[in-house]
Amino acid sequence: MKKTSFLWLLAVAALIIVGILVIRPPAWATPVHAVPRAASIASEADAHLSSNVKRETSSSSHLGLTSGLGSSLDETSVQSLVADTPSSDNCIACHTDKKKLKKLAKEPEEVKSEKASGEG
Amino acid sequence: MPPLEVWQKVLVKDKFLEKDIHADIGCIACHGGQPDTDDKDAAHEGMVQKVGANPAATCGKCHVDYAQAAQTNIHRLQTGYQEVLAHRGGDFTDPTFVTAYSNHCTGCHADCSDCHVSRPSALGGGLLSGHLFKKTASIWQTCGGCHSTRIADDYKGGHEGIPPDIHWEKEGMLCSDCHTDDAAYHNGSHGGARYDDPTAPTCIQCHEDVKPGDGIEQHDQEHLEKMACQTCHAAGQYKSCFGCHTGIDDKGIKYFASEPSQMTFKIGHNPLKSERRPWEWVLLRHVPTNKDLFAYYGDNLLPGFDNLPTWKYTTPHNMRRITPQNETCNSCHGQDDLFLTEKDVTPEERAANTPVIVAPEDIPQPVEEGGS
Repeated sequence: MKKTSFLWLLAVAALIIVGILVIRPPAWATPVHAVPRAASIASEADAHLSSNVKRETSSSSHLGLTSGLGSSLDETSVQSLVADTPSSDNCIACHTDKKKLKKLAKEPEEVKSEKASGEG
Repeated sequence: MPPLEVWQKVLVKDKFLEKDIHADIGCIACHGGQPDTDDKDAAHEGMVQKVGANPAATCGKCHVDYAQAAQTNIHRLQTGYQEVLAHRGGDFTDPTFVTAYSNHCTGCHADCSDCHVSRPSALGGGLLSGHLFKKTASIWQTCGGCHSTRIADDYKGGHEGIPPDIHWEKEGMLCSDCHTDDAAYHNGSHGGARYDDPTAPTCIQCHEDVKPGDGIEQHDQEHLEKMACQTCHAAGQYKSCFGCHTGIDDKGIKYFASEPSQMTFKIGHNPLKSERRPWEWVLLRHVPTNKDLFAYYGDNLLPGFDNLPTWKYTTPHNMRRITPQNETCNSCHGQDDLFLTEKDVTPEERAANTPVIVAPEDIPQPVEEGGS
């Protein structure tokens, strides 16, 4: 009897360990802003970019555009574009905050000559 | 177009971060700046606001062909301005001329971001929709933002007493519904000015049933061969601009000054006759220029000014089936005021406009109404 209980406990523990290893939180449960924007998403973004580039190349063929660069994408530059980019968390935190922007954003001083007139 | 508050110009939408693939790249990859601080000034150090100004280094990292095409693009390089000024004798190898041109004529160019992300920077910029990228440019904010008083206002009926274009009023057609050629926006293969574009839309592409015997009396061989569609179907006056002087004031600020615009409707001889535009009669519009355009910078910088008319070929975007000048035969025939005659042109511009000015004897005479 004791041996059977031990086996059951062992089975349950094994199931829990397998569950932890296999099951991940669903995508919707991960807040966008919490996702690190650089290296950790590099591979996913790279896949997106690669497909985007394929779409562009395809649409460019429709346009009849020709260019020495068009036929082959510089994969290295795309990868490095994403992977080597520092985090944009600070930029995003401010530029999505309406209150903060209202407080901080300032229009550059308009430089207009008194002699200017008429429509552009 | 109502102006944006300054904070609205730079507010990024959550939707952009969640849905737009460009967000995956991260802000700094395109804009630069400093990542490790939340102090505004420090964070913006080294930041490039107008990313599309250098397509090869930014958009072109992925959109390779489009960035390549941008090197000769008409919207980006304003090849139309350059071609017209060169025709008027402007010397783009003369540093004085280039300085004048650079100081006053390059502010309206549009790069990638001016059409796909932001309002045109010439109009104060600002994100179109929280940094979401627009594949098709916005008709009013983008196309109409720059092509405003001379296209967009015509099209939506913005001039008092002149109805909107029927293509907008009845069908809600966007610019890109007629100007369909993607390449024309992006690769500038046509070079030169916009009417040089062999892919530019024509009315007949859709209205292919317009031909002699289609049941409309005025659509006889002679009218169709000799007159551009707009001559009969433009719904009324459209804007002409006059004069333009450039300079730098006492404070070192560059400026231009033009005379007040006027609403005009003038039929004249076709200055751009070609296989695509074989008509004798077309509509003309005065453009903002004069011989002294660059006089501040030097004498006679446009020695061939008279090589081109100042009343130019135009295609107003206020088309209707029935218009004041086509209601009856004599709504046009015998109506001297509809035609550009010598009295409409200032003496100093007559030489330039000789090819388009209509002699009084060339104005169609009134006909007996009700006849054939």
